[in-house]
Amino acid sequence: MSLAHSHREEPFFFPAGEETLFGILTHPPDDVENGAVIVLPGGSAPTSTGRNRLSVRLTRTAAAHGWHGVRFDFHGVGESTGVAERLRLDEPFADDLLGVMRWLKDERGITRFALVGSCFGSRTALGVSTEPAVEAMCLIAAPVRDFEMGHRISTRLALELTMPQYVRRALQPKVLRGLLNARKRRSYARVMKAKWRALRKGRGGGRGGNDDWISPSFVAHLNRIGERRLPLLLLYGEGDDYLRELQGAMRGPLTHLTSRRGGSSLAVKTVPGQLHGFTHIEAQETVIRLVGDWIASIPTHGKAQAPDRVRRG
Amino acid sequence: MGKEQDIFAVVHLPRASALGGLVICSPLEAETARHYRKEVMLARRLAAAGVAVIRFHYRGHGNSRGHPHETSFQGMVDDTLRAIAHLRSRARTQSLALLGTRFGALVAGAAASSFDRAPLVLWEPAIDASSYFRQILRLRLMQDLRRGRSAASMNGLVEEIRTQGSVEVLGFAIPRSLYESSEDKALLGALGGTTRPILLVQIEGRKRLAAPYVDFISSCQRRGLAVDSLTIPEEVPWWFVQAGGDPIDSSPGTAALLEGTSPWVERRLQEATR
Repeated sequence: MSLAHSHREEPFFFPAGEETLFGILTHPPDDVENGAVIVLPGGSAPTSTGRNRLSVRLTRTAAAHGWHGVRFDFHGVGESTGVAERLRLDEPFADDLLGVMRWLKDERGITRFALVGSCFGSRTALGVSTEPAVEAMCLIAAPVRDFEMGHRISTRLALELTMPQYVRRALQPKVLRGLLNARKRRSYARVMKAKWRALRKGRGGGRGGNDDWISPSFVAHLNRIGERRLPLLLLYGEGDDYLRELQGAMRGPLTHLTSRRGGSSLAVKTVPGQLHGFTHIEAQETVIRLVGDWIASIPTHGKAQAPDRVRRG
Repeated sequence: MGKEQDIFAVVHLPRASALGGLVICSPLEAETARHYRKEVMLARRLAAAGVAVIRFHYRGHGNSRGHPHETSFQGMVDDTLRAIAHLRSRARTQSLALLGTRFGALVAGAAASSFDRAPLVLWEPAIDASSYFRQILRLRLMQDLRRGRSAASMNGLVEEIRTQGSVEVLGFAIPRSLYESSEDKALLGALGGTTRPILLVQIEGRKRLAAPYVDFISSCQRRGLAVDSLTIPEEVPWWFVQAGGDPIDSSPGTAALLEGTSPWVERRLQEATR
């Protein structure tokens, strides 16, 4: 299918809290009546276009499959107003997402939503897991731990390494040489602070034993999704450290989701390489293909079943 | 929007009549992650001060139509000229300034050559396309080494562009059409012989101007071009994925960049209308 000519795109502004956010609505060809796929980017490329236009391509893929595609700028990002304070995974921008859903319903009559989120965007999607209008979710490289964006590695090391391992790393020649570089010194300081915080919380080192490194909100959202039997696809690259963390959670507080009587609504798919950050074109193409397949699998409402009556802008 | 040649643009209009207009030529897509917001903030600030501003996405980039593999230097200049025409009709002003960042500085310089005396702002400019692309390809070599791949040589990567149609750098494609159409492009050559005020802003983690910028300014001065310069001591990871960090809106580097650029643009446009 050709993505270049199959759609009309409409820029729009919408209120979310006290801010005015910017979005683009990609319309499917006429006479197709479906909901909207909303694409939520990660913290490293938070504008509505996404890394290498990935969000643009995903929303145009949704339109090619007969869904409206929606991409938007979080508050403080891109064309939106506001200031984006530090991005924290336990404080995702769910209000922004609810704002766009509200606008789409009130102004365009769209009442069904499928969400595609990566990293920070995936946690934002989870933040609306109780919304009845959300019918399906695809989460790419969803983090299982809570941390501030930019601190993924320092907090992971804090959990994984014991103090003796920390010290051995610090004494490596390349690390010592890094002390001459201001950026590396700041990075080392982050690692040290993360370790100190972990020690103070009793997470001395190594991840064996308890599950308190797993985000409580992540577990709570997945449980709610499981109770609703909301179709949920979790996509990871085999090289994503988040995958190992998910597997740990699946052996712990989320075990029941994979063994739910009557079949689980949760599917986990892995692909070779790394998906997180979409730093390779091959990963981007894989995601577009898999998300397209996923969109195609979402049940549609036929015209006879009182579908959305979309009001054109 | 709907036609294949449509480009996405945002126009910031002042409440009263505009004292002039500014066209912003963005860097390549890969370099916008932590820079886009600064252009938005500058545009809003200038509009509040009476300057109309247009920002746009080149064809094949961002929200615009087209395919990135068809990007060419002349195409980017043509997009800029279209943006200028649109701004002039919306803001009803003929007085014009241009701003370009990184590779966008080369585009802005080339477009400016069609407008005598139009002030030109250069944010961390690429002085010439050849050295700019060498810098970018070095990132690819570093990426290969980090992945444990045997790194191709610089010549090997250039060969890859020519034979495969593009080379990938950190998840972005550098297409042959852009590379080959830009190879001989240099800022000094683009400026031609017309006198115009120029502001060069270095955005790097150092306080002194880098040697290429010192040389560029000297060459401009030998041609009778007056160049103001400003250094913003902020390290910007132009091509690297970096989530988190200080909010861009409130970082000291952003404030210094806007403080240094906005009054300069307003002043030069006011001078041009006298």
